[in-house]
Amino acid sequence: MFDDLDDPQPFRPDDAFRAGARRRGRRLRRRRRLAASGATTVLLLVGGAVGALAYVDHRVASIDRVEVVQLSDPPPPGEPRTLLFVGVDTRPPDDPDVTGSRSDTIVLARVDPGADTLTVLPIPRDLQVPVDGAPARINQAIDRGGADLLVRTIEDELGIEVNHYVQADVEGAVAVGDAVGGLDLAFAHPVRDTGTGLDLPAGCTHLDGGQLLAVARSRHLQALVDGAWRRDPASDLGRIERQQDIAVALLARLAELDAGDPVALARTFDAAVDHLTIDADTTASRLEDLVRAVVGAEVTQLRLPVADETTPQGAQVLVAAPGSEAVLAAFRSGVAPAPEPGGPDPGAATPTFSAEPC
Amino acid sequence: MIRRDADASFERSFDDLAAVAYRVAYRLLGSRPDAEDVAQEAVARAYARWRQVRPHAEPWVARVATNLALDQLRARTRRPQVADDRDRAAPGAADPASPDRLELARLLEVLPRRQREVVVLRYLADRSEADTASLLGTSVGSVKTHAHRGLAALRTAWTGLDPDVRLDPGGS
Repeated sequence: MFDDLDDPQPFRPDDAFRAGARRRGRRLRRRRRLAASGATTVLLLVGGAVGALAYVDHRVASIDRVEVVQLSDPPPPGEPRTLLFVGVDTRPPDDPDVTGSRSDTIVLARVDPGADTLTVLPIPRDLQVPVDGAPARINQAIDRGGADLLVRTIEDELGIEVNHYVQADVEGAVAVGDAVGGLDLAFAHPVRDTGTGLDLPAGCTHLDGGQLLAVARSRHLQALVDGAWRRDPASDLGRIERQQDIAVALLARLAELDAGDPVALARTFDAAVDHLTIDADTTASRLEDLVRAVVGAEVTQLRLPVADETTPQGAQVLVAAPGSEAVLAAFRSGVAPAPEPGGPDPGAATPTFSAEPC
Repeated sequence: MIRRDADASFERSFDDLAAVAYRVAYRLLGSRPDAEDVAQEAVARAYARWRQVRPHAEPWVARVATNLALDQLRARTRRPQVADDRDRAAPGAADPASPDRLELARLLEVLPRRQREVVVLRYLADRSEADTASLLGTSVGSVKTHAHRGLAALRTAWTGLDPDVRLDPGGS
């Protein structure tokens, strides 16, 4: 109807326009993040009453604590700090080929409040590293020496200083998953697990907390490829990778929470609190700083290149592959690594059995 | 390295969002630099709230661009407008101070909010009834009603407006 009011010249956004839009957008994001004056105060806004203060303090105070003396002192507020996130599944394994270790998911997250970025690096639990002198799978560190040994191993073998430790049980993923309104994950092919009743189409699907748990626990995932149902040859390893993908996606989803929506923040906080164990030195105000830094941050997900290797004893193990040092350096500095010449194409097709955020 | 896919989806939508915002802004402002400025701000705001905006990004951006453009027009009428050569892009180009633009803006402002929102989305931004309903959180039937009433109000106040005939910038 108002066609005649149109610009006779068609509009094409040029580089200057694009750059300007991005710049303005980032500034707006930062301002929105800063406007939320921290998780605790936001909850006060929601509570609205003096009683709410006591409730919030009580909730934060009720979080289970663990002494992790190996942690490095956090830097001054505003400086980048690193969080070690460990996901545990306390349900006893019913599968004989599943090892007894509890810490299936190990994710390092570096948050830079100044640059407004969150860099996430999942560590494959079967990564072979010296643990207390002898080669072992990295997640055995927590079984042998608790979070202390894991933190020390990460510092010694990966060169990454960890400031905070957060452990969550897998049921927490359900609660938080529901609190953030579910996650969008995509599979390359239709997948099912007749054991857990999981049945998902190909492509982007919205999953609620319960479905996320079903994916995270699926040990016998099958994918419909070229008309036939194929078992995931990685079996339990595949499950671990998917669990890690979910943990990373949840973390990234937290970064996308609307800083101006105190109700959503409060609901997520409330959902998470019962399932967390945090190191004793991360005070409520430091936790607040962390939450404030994560919400609204720009998320970059790194991947550690790994390769299969056979030990002299004939065992199949996973080791860090060439390029891993560059990825670790990138994590430490928060700068993206340059792509390896001739390396894997990040835009390559999704592997058959893994879930990608979408 | 894998960039967060939410940002990737924004990048994919960028051109479309910019185009919608620009079209709406230009129709109201008639000036390329002004419309670009509004479009850039509207797209930036979408980026800042991408997660929430994404399911209905185009109508959202159209609405923000309209509000920004109307703000600019309000500011313009308060200051005496000096004719600016840069605004006259080429012979035959629409005149930013054309009576139709100013009339349109004035009439939009006096419409009840809901009718204005629907008229803007349906006729300035050329969104479908379904898109409009989705953004405004209402039903398609409701959209039809508001569109009908909004147009009727515009037609009553502005004798030159006839939805079956294309608008002629030169006359009324």
